[in-house]
Amino acid sequence: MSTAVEQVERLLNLVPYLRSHPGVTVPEVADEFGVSQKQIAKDLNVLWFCGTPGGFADDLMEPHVGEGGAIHLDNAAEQITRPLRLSTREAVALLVALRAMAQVPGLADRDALERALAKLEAAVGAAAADTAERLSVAFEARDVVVEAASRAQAGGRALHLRYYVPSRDEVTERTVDPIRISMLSGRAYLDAWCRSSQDRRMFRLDRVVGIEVLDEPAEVPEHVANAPEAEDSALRVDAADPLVELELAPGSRWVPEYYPCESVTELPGGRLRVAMRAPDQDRIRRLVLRLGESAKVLGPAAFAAAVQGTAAAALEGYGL
Amino acid sequence: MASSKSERLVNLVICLLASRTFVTKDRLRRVLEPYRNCPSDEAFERMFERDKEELRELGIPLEVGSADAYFDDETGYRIAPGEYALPELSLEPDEAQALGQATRFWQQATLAQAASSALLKLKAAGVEVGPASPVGIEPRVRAEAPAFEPLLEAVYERQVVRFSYRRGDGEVRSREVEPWTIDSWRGRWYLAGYDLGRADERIFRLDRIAGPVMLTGRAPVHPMPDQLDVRSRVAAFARRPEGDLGTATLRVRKGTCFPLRRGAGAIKEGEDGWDVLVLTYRDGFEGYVAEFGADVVVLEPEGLRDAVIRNLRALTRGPGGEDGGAAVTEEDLAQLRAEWEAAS
Repeated sequence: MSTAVEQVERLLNLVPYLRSHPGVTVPEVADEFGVSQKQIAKDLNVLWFCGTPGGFADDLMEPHVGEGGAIHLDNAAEQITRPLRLSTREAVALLVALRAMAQVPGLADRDALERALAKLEAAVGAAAADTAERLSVAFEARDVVVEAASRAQAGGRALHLRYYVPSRDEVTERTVDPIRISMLSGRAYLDAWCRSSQDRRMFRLDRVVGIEVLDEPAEVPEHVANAPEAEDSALRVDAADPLVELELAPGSRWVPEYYPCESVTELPGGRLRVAMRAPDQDRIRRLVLRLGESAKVLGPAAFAAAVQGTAAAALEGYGL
Repeated sequence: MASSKSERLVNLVICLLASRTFVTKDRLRRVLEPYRNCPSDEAFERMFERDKEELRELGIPLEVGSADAYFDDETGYRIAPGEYALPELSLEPDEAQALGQATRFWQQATLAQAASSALLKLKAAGVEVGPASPVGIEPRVRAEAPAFEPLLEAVYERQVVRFSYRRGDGEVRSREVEPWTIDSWRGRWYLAGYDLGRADERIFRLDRIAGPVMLTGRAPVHPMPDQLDVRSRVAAFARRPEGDLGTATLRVRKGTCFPLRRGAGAIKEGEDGWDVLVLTYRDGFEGYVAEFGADVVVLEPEGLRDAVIRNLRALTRGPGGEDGGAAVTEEDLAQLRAEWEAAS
């Protein structure tokens, strides 16, 4: 889009915006429209020359800037006091998002999402609503867990969790203070302060084995509550973690699609060489055990030994 | 220069919205000063053509019709206010909040941008959308596959696409597809559509599209089946189980193998520190069992037991071979075995 077209798009929004927000200031408008204050000043100057055609001064708009940058738009052209309808793309972005959230089972505010969805669908028209049907996002979550987590979060209550840690094959017990529920990459997570580890953690809700809303209030330490969200610790990778190199047979080509790899190299015969890093090597060790003969550990030696040792110990269970 | 053009376009919009009938070009030229000041007819024509194009680019519904009831050749223009303006949208506070959440849903650039420009229009219309999300749900949706953006474009524009697709077995082939839907399941994106080469419907994973996606400019000719049918087929494809079912009996160490326990139909608690699970399984289950190492032993069926043993044996084989590999010393192994024995 040319700068002029962008400016026209902004002006057609600015006129209704100034009408619905009388006295709003230049810095506020600049912030809302994502442009500089200087640009807003230029936009307002253009409006002085716009209005109902006729060529008389009375027909033109008068955007006055007063004390503290407060803007008052007088004589706004009646024809453009409503914003332009949503484009198909704009409508699709909102409709698909609302629909996806309304489908998450157990959410406290599903009803509001559905009502907003119905009103928006009516406002955007059939064609846009139809295109929105062609795009969808589904989240997977167990409703009882989401429901309890969402209730505790909304009510400001602490939660007791029984939480499975796969790399240790262990169910842990902990009391957490919920911060928010996040839907990332198709999964539901509970972003919470973990009292046991005295740290902020992301808990995958599909790994919650038991959940109980406690009577006691949630107490999230202040410095934590205001910080940006925590990362999933399983995805957090440190450059200091040792790099494990594997060679994969064609049947294991799916591995780099599920596990973050630092490098993937094609080898003859459809085989792959991958390098992966993980904070706890148990995760990769379990992966290699699963792959069996379709994976070969290239290094490091200690990791290869750990895999061999685990396999040998497991074989003893079969009397071998 | 830019602002005089913006001024002209805004005035053109107001003028076309203000008129109930179609406005002829001649009249526009008389009414709007920049057109009036054009030095020649050609200059005016050029300017007006460009302006019309730019209004359409903005999504402004410019209508063309006959300006005169008696003379068909008098072409005129107008913008119907009902088509132009965002309809009244009266939202309860919690509904406005829900819309606010929807605008923060996308992390993919095009959709995030579309959501925030939609938000601005809603705000301009006086809808109060709060900045914070007191409901405490933060969905974040990424679409990192490079194929996402052009495919979305193809769905919007209703165009046939062409791309190279790598199947699970590594085979790469060029495909021509009439796109129907783009859906995300468990964080992974899928395209459903009519594969022209195979003359049948197909589902593709976006992360297996290799190289660029080309929009062919051709419109799809095959009718799209019912929306819900397509979506349920994508769902089935995304979560499809592979292989046949069977029943297995496993011996698992107490306090371990939680996911196996969760999927078990029956658990018999043992006295010797081990429990016995009965569960149904599918092909490839041996790998999943092997993951739990020495904490699980397959009792039956024999086929599964052998498969697990094969899987484990492959891993106890020493490194080496013609490709080389990591050198694991005998001491490493001895020490690890000792650790395992101590643990069990």
